[in-house]
Amino acid sequence: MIKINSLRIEYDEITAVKDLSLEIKKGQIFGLVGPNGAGKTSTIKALAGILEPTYGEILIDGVDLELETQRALQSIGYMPDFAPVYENLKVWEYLDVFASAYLLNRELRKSRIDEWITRVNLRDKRDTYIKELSRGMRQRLVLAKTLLHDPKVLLLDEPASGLDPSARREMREILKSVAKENKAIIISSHILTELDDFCNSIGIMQKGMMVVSGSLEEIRAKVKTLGLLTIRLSEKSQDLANKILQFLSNSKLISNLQGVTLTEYKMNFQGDETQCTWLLDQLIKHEIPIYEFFLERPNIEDIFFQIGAKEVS
Amino acid sequence: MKILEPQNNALFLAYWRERMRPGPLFSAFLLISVIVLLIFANGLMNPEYVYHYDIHTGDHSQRTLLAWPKKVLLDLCYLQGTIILLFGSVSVYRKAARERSSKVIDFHRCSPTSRIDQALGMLFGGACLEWTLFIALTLIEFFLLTFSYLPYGFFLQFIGALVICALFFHSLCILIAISQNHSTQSRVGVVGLLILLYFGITLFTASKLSFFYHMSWVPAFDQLTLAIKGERYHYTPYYFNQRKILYMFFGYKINSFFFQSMIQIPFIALFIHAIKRKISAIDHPPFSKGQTLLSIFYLLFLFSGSAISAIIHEENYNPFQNYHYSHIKEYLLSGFFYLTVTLGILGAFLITPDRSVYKKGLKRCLKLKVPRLRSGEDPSLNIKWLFTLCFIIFVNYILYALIFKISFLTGFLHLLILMSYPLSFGFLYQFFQLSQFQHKRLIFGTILLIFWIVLPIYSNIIKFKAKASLLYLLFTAPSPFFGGIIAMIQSITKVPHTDLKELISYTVISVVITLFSLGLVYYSRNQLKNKVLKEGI
Repeated sequence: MIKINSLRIEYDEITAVKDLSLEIKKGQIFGLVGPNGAGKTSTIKALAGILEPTYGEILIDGVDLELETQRALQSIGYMPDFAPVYENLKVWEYLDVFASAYLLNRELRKSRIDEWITRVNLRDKRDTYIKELSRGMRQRLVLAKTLLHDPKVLLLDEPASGLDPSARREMREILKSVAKENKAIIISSHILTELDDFCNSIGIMQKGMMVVSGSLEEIRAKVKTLGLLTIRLSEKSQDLANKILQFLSNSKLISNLQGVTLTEYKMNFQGDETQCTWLLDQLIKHEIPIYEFFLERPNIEDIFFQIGAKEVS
Repeated sequence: MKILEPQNNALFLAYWRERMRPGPLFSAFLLISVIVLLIFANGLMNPEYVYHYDIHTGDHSQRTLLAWPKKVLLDLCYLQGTIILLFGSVSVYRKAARERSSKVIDFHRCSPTSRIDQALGMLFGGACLEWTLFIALTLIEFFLLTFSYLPYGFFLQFIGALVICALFFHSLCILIAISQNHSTQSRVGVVGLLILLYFGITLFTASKLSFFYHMSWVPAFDQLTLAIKGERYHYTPYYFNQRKILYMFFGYKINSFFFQSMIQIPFIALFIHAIKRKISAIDHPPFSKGQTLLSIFYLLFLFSGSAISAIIHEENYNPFQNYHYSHIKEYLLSGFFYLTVTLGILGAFLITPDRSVYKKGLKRCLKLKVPRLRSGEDPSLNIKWLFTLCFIIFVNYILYALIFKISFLTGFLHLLILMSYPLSFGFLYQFFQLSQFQHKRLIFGTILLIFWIVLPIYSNIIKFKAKASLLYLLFTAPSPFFGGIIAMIQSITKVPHTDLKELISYTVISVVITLFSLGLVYYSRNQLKNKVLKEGI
């Protein structure tokens, strides 16, 4: 659905995006992660047709954005971090303006506006002037504007930026429902835990480059991220403790082993699910009475920091 | 085109909804109704007389009463003009400036609506309230017209002229507004714009050249007043002769409405195209290189048409070609020289790419493995553009050389001096734009101020021992306002002719400055090119 080939964006002496190539398929929800100045917003703006890249090819649903701009833009819904609005328009009027911008006919405009006003929980505010809306409401309004023409591609640049926790939660719920609609979505955010909920793939950008991208599992495998393994025993004895510590310390998959109590052990585990099952199986074979065996997988934030640390070093 | 169905034009719809709410609409209509009633009351209670001037006897005591419907009609037309030209221009400017500053324009930019629809939506939507009042007043005026026993033709011509004039100013206002960034917006603002449009135009019309005169709204009102008050309402012999020149082009008398259309419609099209360009790529120059050259050529053509009309008229009116003729000659030559230099410098300023745009172009070339960008593209340097401009200057100059019978050597020196100003400015500006100081325009502005204004004025104040001393020549030659051009004008108009030595000295200095500037461009271009090659793609 979205294909980027060798995208480069430069501002005078700064290179915002360095030869980025990426492909995002239908139904893929791609979280774009990176620190400030990593090139996330520039990438999204170039995809939305707002920023002219230095060079590179962008295909939206197979249509070249540079050559057939208007046709490609029909498939795109773009939402920036700060919602630009017409303060003196009413909520429904604002949506109507952009429904006509996306070439929807009058009948369709009316039904779509009603549908999206309801979905973003602004039904009560239908006839309210935008200048009277809170920041969260404005963001929801702009999200409704973005989705009004049922785009195949959604570009969301920090959609929850500057919102309070409850508004952020509302926004997340709406985005989760949209995520089920089989669109290709690119979403950038600073708040990494937010992306965990609905992204099925991520890309980590740093200094204009995509450091790593793919599904969460692929990335975990690529960067060999560590999971936190917790083992609890049903019996409490010093012999048992010595036995398990000896067994685990010999395993190459384990590091940073700590005995919290005689029955509880925590360690970093570096391996996939098969290796995890194998380890459990071995513990049972060694007649260790397992009460709880729990592997906590790293989230986007953990991966981000791990990769970030590597990049810095 | 969506403007034919405004209910589906997003930008028009947004502005219409904002401005046509019952509250503001009622207030505007109430205010206008009160003003209209006052105009009617004034028309009925204060009779106005038209005084006739007899050219032969010099008598101006004859007067006739102006019928009240005619008086009211005239006043209403002035009100209508003020609404659509003044308030309309301010409205479209403010709407377009807000689009840029609030960044809502980004949403329109990434929508599939065509750029022409967006430009037209801004043009007609921004002043929709003013256009509504304009239509309402037109209906009242039609009603009055039937009472005045005046022909409809002149009135339709007036309305047409006003509409074209409004579109001309509105499109220019939108272009200025969306071309500004935050810093320039605060500096220029609405007040600056008004000064530019209204007082500036008055200065233009004061030149009494048909082309400048028809670029303003004045002819529409002059024609209307003429039709309502009569043929000879306040003519002095001088004014009468001036009026004839104002409607002449290459010596042919042209209908006012047609003349205005010929001047303003191409520029309306150019401005709309520039608005489209600005919506598509906000950082690109508003006009392409080809458009700038074509516009300069057209403007010089219009100026020549007006100037030659004045010369032809003067030759017929004043066959002895005395001091007055020499004065006209000097005035038109100065106009041509200064207009050429100003347009050349302004054009070079508008089309010269900056460091980042040029670098972007170079990298594109490297990536696409093409040796160079087409010269018409924005990222290419301005050198080809400047040399094409020189050709345009040459073509236009030949016309004046033939009329004023300028000798080959003098003409050659004139051309070199005339071309040197846009060339040296263009090269120096390109050098500055390719340097790392490109954002520090204050430095460049200060340098220009010193060489173009301060040093020449200083050299004139202190008066060097000999006026043609080398120091005086060096101090005045770089300025497009002093030095070279003044020497050029004097070489034709002054009797006896100015010594060729001074003209040659100015030519040599101008050519040296131009070549030095060209060297600087090549130096900076090569430096940047090497840097890009070193960086790689």
